[in-house]
Formats: sequence, structure tokens, C-alpha cells
Amino acid sequence: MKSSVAPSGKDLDAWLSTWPHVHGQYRSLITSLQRRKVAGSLPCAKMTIELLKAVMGTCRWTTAAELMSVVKRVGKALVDAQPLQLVVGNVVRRILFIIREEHKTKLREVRAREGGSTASLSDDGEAGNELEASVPGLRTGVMEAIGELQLELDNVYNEICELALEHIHANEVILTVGRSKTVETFLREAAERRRAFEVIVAESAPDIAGREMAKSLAAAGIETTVISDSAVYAIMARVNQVLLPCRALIANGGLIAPCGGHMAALAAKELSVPVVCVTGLFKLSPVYRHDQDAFNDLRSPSALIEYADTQLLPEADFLNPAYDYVPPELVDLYITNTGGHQTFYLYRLLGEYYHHDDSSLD
Amino acid sequence: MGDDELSTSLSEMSLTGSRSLGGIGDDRPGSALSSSPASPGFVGKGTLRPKHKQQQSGASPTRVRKSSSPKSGKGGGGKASGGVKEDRNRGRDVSSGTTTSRNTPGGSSRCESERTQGHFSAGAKRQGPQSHRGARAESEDWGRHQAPSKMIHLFSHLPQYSKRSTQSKSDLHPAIETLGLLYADGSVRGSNARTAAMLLAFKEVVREYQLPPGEVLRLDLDKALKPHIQYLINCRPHSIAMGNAIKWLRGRIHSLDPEAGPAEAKESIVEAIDAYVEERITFAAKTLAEVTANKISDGDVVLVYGRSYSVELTLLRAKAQGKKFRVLVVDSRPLLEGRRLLASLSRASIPSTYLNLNAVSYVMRGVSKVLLGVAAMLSNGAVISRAGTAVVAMLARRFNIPAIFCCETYKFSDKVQLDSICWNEVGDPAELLRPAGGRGATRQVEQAHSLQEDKPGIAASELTASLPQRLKLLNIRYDLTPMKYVSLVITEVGMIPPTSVPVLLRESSKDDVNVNFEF
Repeated sequence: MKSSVAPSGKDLDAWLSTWPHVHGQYRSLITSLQRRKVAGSLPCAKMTIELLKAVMGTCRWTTAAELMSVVKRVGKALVDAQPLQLVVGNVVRRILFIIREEHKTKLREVRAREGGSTASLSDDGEAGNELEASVPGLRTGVMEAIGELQLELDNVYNEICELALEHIHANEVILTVGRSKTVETFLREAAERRRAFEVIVAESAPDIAGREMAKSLAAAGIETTVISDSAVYAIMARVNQVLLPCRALIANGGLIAPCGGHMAALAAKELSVPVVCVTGLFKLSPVYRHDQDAFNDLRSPSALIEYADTQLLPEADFLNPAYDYVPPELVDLYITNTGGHQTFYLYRLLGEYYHHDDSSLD
Repeated sequence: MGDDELSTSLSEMSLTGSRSLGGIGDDRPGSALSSSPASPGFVGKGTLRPKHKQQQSGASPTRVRKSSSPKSGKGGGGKASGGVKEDRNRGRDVSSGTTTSRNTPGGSSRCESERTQGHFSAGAKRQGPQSHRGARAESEDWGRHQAPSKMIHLFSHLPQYSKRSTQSKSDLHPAIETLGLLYADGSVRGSNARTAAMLLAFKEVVREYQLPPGEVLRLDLDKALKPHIQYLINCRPHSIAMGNAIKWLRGRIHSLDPEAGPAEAKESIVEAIDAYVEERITFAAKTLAEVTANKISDGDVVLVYGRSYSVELTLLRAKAQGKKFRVLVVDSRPLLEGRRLLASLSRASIPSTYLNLNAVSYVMRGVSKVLLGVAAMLSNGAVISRAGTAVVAMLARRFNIPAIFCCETYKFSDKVQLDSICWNEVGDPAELLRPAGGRGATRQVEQAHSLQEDKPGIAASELTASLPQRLKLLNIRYDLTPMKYVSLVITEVGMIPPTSVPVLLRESSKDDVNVNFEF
């Protein structure tokens, strides 16, 4: 009989193979993360939850500690499959947090039923030995809580869109960079509710995702103008608000935006235009980053130049970074599914979603 | 090496202006270099080189005939010397060459790249020279590129981009006509090249001008120049530097000695133009490059944006001085001028890195100097330059890197401006529809653009017209960099802080050409 404690690293694969169904799901998610086949943060988050749910429902575990170690090990493997997709790590930590909370609640219930005092259970301290305790009903409790998390993710756009009218006034000129599902839904919602405003989309070279964005906004009846990235500063003086897309929110209140985000945010700051980031809180990551290098991805230069041409340019290198770090002082407001938050409050939200012991998944 | 080629090509341009008028597009360093055998193919945009190949490969004679029906310049008929005649032929060749090279399918890879770079606009502009010269009636059909509903409200006070349907008047000098077409299709780009080419074309006009009986030369010549100037403006709104040059030329004509005979007066104007081009542009750029190159030291990482003539000269000069430095070439759509700079740096064995404007934040921390070109230096210390310059300068300031602007003094203007909107140039909106960077730009992938349904091979005008109803495109050419981002302005008369621009302006207005500044 196999140990109920999940091994780490390569052994995890063998351990999981006891349950072919889960193992297949695990392999396929790992592969698609490695090959970057999952587009967008939200699908990534949802698929991670699905997998962890299946793991929890199928694999062998008896105590919270055991369950957490399974989740951590699987989560670590997923994070390693694509370290730049911070959302995966967020979801794993969120589920660990849920397990801790459920365990605490259930344990409290058990103690109360036994008539013992709950005084030994201080608010912040589930000591390791308490997690070792087996409590009845933990599995259903955790599953329910995860179901709520899934519901939260399903509704994330709706919740954000509810706020659209509060932040867009009539005749407003909004600038956005590149393409973002969240920003797009946000603006479309405002337009659907008959708010008349104008959007300027910077095309965001080299992938020119801004075009798709503009097309979709125009189709929703919004007056849309496409500009090249070089015109961002020139046009900024007449913009009322900048909506930044977001790849990840980080613990210091900064954000990881698609390349070009920093430039736009800085131009806005210089001209005193408010910079607003519209995003779901599932992108809030308990990691700290301080510069452009720490979290970035250098993409293929083929977007900049054709390979054949580089043969003629022996002295030239080509750089195509994917992301920008936007420091917190450049962002004025985060509009999230739990409402608007100011930048320097974000660290406080971390405490509501993650447990500090889980920041490392090792 | 490269530097010599530059100077020869430039001095040739300025000294034997009439000879090389057809090749005016070649007066910029990159094109001069690109005629060397090692020139990479992808940077072909804007040079007039393809015409030779194309014509050899058999442009149809009808087309050549159709596109070459030069209207003789006013009074140019009788007096035209052999040299001028040759020049006119060259001018004709140029335009027909450009026309045919764009129309002949399956040219060399070089022409291919030219065609694809101007991919969407080519469809529309391609007709330019033809219908302009041949079928006058067609010109009525030339609608605006953007329907009025597609006009950007904020920029509606500026001349909107249209397909330059200016009918050629019979009294236009062919050199001006040719130049106008070169302006319109972007073959001649950049303040220096445009101004020099314009002045040299005016020189031809002046040289062939004949005083009608009973007129005063200094009044009539000015009147004769006006339609030429207007025609050029219709082809592409002139830059501030060109405006300065026009103002200077007209002032020069007005101040002609009334006692002098017509031949003598014309000769003095011709000489003055030569001197202006030589001193204010060619020599100024060279001196400027020399001064700026001294600012580059070993180990520097120099960030440059787009392709500025003086910046390019500076980098090549610094290399020639044996400096060891690295260049970061920042480029932006839609023009992607930086590619030609990259090619020229590569040929000069200067290690360089090419990146997009969006990625500047990523590299700025490692940069030691930022060198930028200028279209006009305003007297409130602001700089007007190619769109995107302001962002680069702003980021430089943010990262505490000096942003050095290279500006010849003839670009100094007594205008003041606070934003990039009051004065700007609205470019061809269809340029924004060009396919993305590498893959699209050098290959014919018409489907790559995503704003419309896939309709391969349709003209740019249809393309913009077929945009979704509420979708507009804005392609502005310039932006204004406020004084706070300008660390230093280097001119041919020395280095000044931006606050001193009005001082230099005052000094130079005292003494027309020679500014005596210590440096």
C-alpha cells in the first residue's frame, strides 16, 4: 500500500499514477502550461482548481496536513511548469488557505461538541500538531469552499462590470494599451448601459493586440481610435483616464502589465492623468518584485524581424520582452471584483486570501 | 569608410545639385550606404535604387511614356542647358522608376521589401505619379483617405491626410513636381533631407526663371515661387525646418539689390541657396556629429530612437574615432525607420540591439546616454520630433539618464507650443493597418492585419473605408517633448541647455547665417 503522503519531484508522477484519471488530467495540464497553450489567466486559474479538486477528491489523505502536502506538491509541479503564470501559484495558495480555514472551523466545532475549551485554539495559530488531527467533515467542507471559489471566479467579470458606471463618466476619453479581456468587458458593459465615452487604444507592438481590442470595442458601439504606441505621450494630454491591463498584481501594490504598460502609466503620471487597473483579485500574488528583470519573459524576436534579415545584421541583437513592471506609485486605483482598492492597501488583502506560511510551496 | 561616403554623397548633393537632384532621396546617410554592395535588402524603403533594376527588367514603354509628360517650367524652355535637360530626364526617370517598380509584380527581393513595407499605402499611392501625370481626369476620383466620419475630432484643425490629388499646374517646374511625389510617398523623409532637397529644387527653379518684361525681379520671382511652395505643401505639409528655409529664401529674394541685373540677381540667389544648404545643413550636421561624437565615451550604451540623420552621423563618427560603445536602436511602428539605422550600424560594425518602443522601460536602466533627433526646436525649450521621442525622453528622465538632442540651428524656431496637438501632421491612417513587425513586414501577408475581413489586394482607401463604423485610426507624425525632459541640445555652434534656445535664436537673427558662439 502506498504512503498517503505525496512525494515531491519526479516521484509525484509515479505516486499520482495510482489514480489514472487524475494522473491524466495532471499530465495534460502540466503539458499545456509548459507549452503555454492555456490562453489567459482566468482559464489557467479555473483549470488549476479543477485539477486540485480532482486530486483532493481521489487521492488518499486523512488529515489536513496530508491534504496540504498533496496540494503543495501538485501545486509546485504546476508552478514549475510555467513560473511566469503567477495565477497558478495564487490558486494553489488560496486552496491551502481554504484548507487551513476549514480545518480550524471543523476542529472548533469538534472541540465545542466535546465540551472542551476553544481557548487553546488561538486565532492565528494552528500549530503543526493541530493540522495533524483528523477531523470529520473536512473533505466536504473544503469541497464546498472550493465550490465557492469557483463561483467567485465565474462571476469575476460580472462583479467588476458592476462598477463600470461608477468610474466612467459621460464624454470621458479613456486610453488603454493592448488587449485585455477584463478591460474589454468592463468598457463594453459601460457602453451597454448607455454611457457615451471614447476609447483610444494603443496598438501595443509587436503583437498589435490593440487592434483586436479596438475592433471589439467598436463593435460594441464605442467610439474607438487606434493609435500607434509612439503617440501615447502626445495624446495623453487629452485623456481623462488610463485603464491598464494586468497580468499579475504583486504584493507591494505594483503590477505586471503587458510590455508598454510602464510607458503609458508613466506618461499618465507625468500629465496627472489617473491610472486605473481593472482586474480580478485572483491575480493578486504574494510575491515581491522590484524591477523590470525580476519577472519577465523574453519572447521570440521573430515578431520584430524576419530571421532571414538577421543574417545581414551580424552585429545586431533583438529584444522582445513580454512584460513591464509598473511600480505602485504610478497606479492610482485598482478596480477588482471586491470593489475599488487603493494601491497601498493591497498588502492587507493578501492576509485575507493567503496564509503567510504558504508563500513558499516547497 | 562610411563617413567618407556620407560626406561625398552629401557634398555631391549640395555642390552638383542639379546633377543629383533625381537622387535626392539618396542624400541621407543610410541610402548612401545602402548603395554599397553589402547593403541588406530589407531596408530598401525610400531609396531610389530599385529603379535601375526595374527599368532593366523591362518597364513597359507605354507606362514610361504615360508617366513622363513633363510640363516645361516657366521660361525654362529656351534657356535649358544640356545639364538641365539631363536633369529633367533624370527626374522623369525617377518618377517613372518609382511608379513602375511598384507596379511590376515579382521584382527583386529588394523591391519586394519596398513594396511590402508600404504595403497598404502602396496600393493607393502607387497611382499617385501616374494619374498625376497622365490622366488628369482620374484625379477627381481621388477621395480622401479617411471619410470625414473617420476624421479624429481632436485633430480636425490640421490638414487631413489625403491622396495629395493636387493637379499639376502647367507652370510647375519638373524638379518640384518630382520632389513633391518623393515627399508624398515618403521616399524623401527627415527634416534635413527634405529641406536640402527642397532648396536644391528651388535653385533649379530660380536658375531657369526668366523675368517677364516690365516686372521687378525680386517681386515677380517670389510670386513665381509661391505655386511651387504650395504644391510641395499639398504633397506633404512642410516641416518647421522647411518653413524656416522658405522664410529665409523669400527674405533673401526680397532683399535683393534692386539695381542688380536679373542674371546677376539670380546668380546671387543660387549662390545663397548653395551656401545655406552647405553651411546650415550639410556642414552643420557634420560639425554637430563631430561635437556629439566627443560626448560618447568608451563603454557607453547609447539609446537612439528612430533614424535621425545627425544621430546616425554621430554614431558613425564616434565609431570612426575608435570609440567602443553599444547602441540600442528603438523603433516604432508604423514607419520602422530604425531598421535602416540598424543596417547602417551593422555595416559599420557597431554592436547594436534592436527593440520596440514599448520595451524601452525594460532596457533604460542599463543605458548611459540617450541621443535623439529633432524636427524643430521651439523657443520655449520644447522639442518637436518624430512621434515617440517624448516618451523616450520622459523615460530617460525617469531613470536619470541624460537625453541629448541633436539639432542644427536652422531648425530653431521662434514658435512656442505646449502640446503635440496644436501643430502636428496627420499621416496616412492606413499605415496603421500594416501587418505586425517582422513576419508581416517583409512578407506579403495581407491577411495579417486584423481590423477587416480578409480581403487580399484591396487598396488602402477601401481598407480604411471598410473599417467598422465607430473605429478610427490616428497616425500622427510628431510629438512635443517638453523642456523638462531635455538635458542638452547640441548644435553645430555648441552645446546649450534648452533654456538658452531663445538666446541662440536672437543671436542668429542678428547675423543671418554665421552664429558666433564659443564652443
